[in-house]
Amino acid sequence: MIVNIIVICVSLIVAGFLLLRLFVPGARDWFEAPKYRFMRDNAEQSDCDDSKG
Amino acid sequence: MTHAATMSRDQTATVSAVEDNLIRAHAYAALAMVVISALFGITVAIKMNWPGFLGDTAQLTWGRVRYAHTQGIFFGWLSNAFIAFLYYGVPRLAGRSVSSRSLGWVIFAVWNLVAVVPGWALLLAGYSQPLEWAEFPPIIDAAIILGMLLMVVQFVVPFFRARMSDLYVSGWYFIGGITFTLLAYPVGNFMPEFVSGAEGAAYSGLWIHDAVGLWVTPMAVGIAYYVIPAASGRPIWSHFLSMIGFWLLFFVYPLNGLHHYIFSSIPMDMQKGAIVASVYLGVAVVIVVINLLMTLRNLGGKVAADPALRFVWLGVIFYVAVSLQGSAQALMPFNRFVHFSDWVIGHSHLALLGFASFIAIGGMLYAWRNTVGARYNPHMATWSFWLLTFGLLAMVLDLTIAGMVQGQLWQGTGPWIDSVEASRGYWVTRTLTGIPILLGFFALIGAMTMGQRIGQNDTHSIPTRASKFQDINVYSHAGRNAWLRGAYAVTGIAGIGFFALSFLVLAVWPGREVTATIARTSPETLIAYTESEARGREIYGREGCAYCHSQMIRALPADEQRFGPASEAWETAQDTPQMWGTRRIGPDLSREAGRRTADWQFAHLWNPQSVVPRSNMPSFPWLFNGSARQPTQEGIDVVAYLESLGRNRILAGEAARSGTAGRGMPPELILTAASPDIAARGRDLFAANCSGCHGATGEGDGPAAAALLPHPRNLTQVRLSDARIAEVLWKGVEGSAMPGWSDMPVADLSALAAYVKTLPASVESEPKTAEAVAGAGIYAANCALCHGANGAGDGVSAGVLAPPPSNFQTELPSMDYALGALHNGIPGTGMPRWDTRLSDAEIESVSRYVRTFYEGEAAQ
Repeated sequence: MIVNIIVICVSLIVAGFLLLRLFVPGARDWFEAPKYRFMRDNAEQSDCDDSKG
Repeated sequence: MTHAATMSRDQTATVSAVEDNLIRAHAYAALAMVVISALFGITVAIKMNWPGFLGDTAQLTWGRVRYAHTQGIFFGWLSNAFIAFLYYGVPRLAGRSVSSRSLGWVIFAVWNLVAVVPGWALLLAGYSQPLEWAEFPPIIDAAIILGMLLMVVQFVVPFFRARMSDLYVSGWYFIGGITFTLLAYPVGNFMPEFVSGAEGAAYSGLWIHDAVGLWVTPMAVGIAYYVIPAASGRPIWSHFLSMIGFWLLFFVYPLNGLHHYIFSSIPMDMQKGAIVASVYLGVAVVIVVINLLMTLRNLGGKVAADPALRFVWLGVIFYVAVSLQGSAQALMPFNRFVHFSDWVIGHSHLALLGFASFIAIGGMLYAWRNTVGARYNPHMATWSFWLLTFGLLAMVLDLTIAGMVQGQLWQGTGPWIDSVEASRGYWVTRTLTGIPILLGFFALIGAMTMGQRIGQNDTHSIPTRASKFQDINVYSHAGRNAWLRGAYAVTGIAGIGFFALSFLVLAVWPGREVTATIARTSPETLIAYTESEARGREIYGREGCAYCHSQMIRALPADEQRFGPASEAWETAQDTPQMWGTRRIGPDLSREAGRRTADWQFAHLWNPQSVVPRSNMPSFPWLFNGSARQPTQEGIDVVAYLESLGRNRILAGEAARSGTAGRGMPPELILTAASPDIAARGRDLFAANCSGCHGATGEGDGPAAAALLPHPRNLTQVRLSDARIAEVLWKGVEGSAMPGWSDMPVADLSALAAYVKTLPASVESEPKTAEAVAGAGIYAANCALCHGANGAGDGVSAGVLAPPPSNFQTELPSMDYALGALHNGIPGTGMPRWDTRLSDAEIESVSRYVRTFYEGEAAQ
């Protein structure tokens, strides 16, 4: 019973993410956006620190 | 414009300045506490072989120091290191400062000065909870919950103001880790105080894994996701995979909890659920690690050159190793061998000292070298890396092998102490591995205090220009799919749902099942703990006894053969909190009732090696007033508790009194030492197992002798027939502290018996002369009632006496011994002193007469 719940939930989570990425336009970029924003902010912070010097 | 970009440069500088002091404070606290915690750990490791190390003081006894070690690593070291990084990472991830600098100092004070330091003091003073990873007493738990609550305000609230759909995966891990731990902590630390036995164990199991899964892992993985791209200058390989890993982790991690109690009385359905979740966890970790390592592909040079990145990289490697190891350990065929053994201790160290600490160090070093004004020495950081790596790998390898050896020995029926003896070399090695680990932490302190001071231009060693990432249009479809922006909110709610689900299926549901099982299987009436036993139970928990002695016999042949029928849920239904334990250094104590005499228990607590010479159990002299015969009320309470363990199951007729007394006839022993090797083996076995009571030369004057009633027999003054030696060794002596040794291999029993036979070298039988049998009348009038008309120990009163009266046909006392027994009686037996009723001449006459009964081997 519990085993079934776990297997179903895990399958749904993974399937949900995969379906979203494969079939929703823009989802791929949307999923990947934060990592670019993170790098850009990190670099900007670096620029900012550089300018302080 | 991004959030960070919207901040003015002055604002950014201010934010950095605010966090720097708090980064420093928590980093220094982490470094101080890791050294203290490591010293606790080394102390514990030394005491495994030398339990008297640092003296037999209550405050430094093994159990209490062990509590302080694990709680110090968890709350003092790792948590401070994580918080230090949060002050660096959260403002950059959320694009905003943390909520308040003042609040930061309050958190620092609450965490360190209200929780960890007083928590240590209380643990060492004897105020604790005997629950794995929840050892701090409830008052400290309240302080930690307050700290976690303040951390939500400090670190989570800033994210609320940010656009959640922009949130980088590290932010998700930090938010999830703090909020879910705030939810899990009270449940795992307070519920077992109110929920007993198997049901309480379900909650404890949940917390054991949540502590690692909902606090340590999210923080460490969040840091890895931050440092790897930031230090390498390359974006994470796939943010999509990182999100799958995140949600899988938060779904399956809490569901792992019960894999600490496989083969227990917790419903099997839940155990299987935990096993399946454990396997899925391995899959989730593989996804996370592939993602992190793919980010570093072809960047070996950078990893090698940057100590911070190198620490994080190796931490990630440890992460996948320890997670796959954990998944395997949960599988039943594997679990049955390694559970309770040092294998699991190796696993724990690989998780917290390997995976979590390496990433925490990498994160701290990364934040440190970007903190203006801090001192940073990469050379020392490199030394720290290699020392810690060497020490950790050596320790884990050593403990893993030790665990396999212990697991294998426990499958047999040999004496438990053999597994302790076999472990000693591994425990020495494990202690030595603490030296490079401690030096590694000292080098880390050097790396963060002795280097060149970081200037304004020294920060961010990888100057990745923002323009490189400016042209990536990630929102080209955002307008068309605006609902995507709410997807994280949906999954956030789902996360809370996962968390609730874990409590439902691994705590609440098992609790109901356990209650129903108890109602169905429990005897109608159970003997409740007396007040003394209940007090003894608290002392047992206070001294950490449950961390060496489990109280959970698993439904496995090896366990059942050694300890008796598997534990049932109703047996511990009155135990709050439960003390099932997750480790066995000594044997399981579920059925200790009636196994030993009270005087043996007192002697054992006073000086364990006096009755079990090879034991590594610490002494508990603070439970006595100067000798084993003068226990304090606390000592009496502990023994009362020990003698209650398993009492209800035994009285229900479902389990025999456990012990090492053999059943049926003893095996045929060869009592002739056919070779010098066998004689030497017998002597060694006597020294290792018997000398504590019988003394080194067998004269009954071992260190435990004075505490035992009846006193151990002087084996040099009584000759036993071969059959009697075999019987005593096989079954023990009822009513005395002499246990059976049926768990000893027959070849060893033979060698031991052959040695014992040589001890009464000068005791010769009495010829049946007229002078010798002159005492027959006195004997018939005074002694035959117990010893029988023919001295066979079968008088009419014999059946009610324990120990039974001597059978003089198989036991031949020396003349001196017989005279002494008649003059002084034998304390602790039914044998009274006769010098008040018989004259010296009569006593001598009877003494000679009883010596004429001996038939030696003919008695068989």
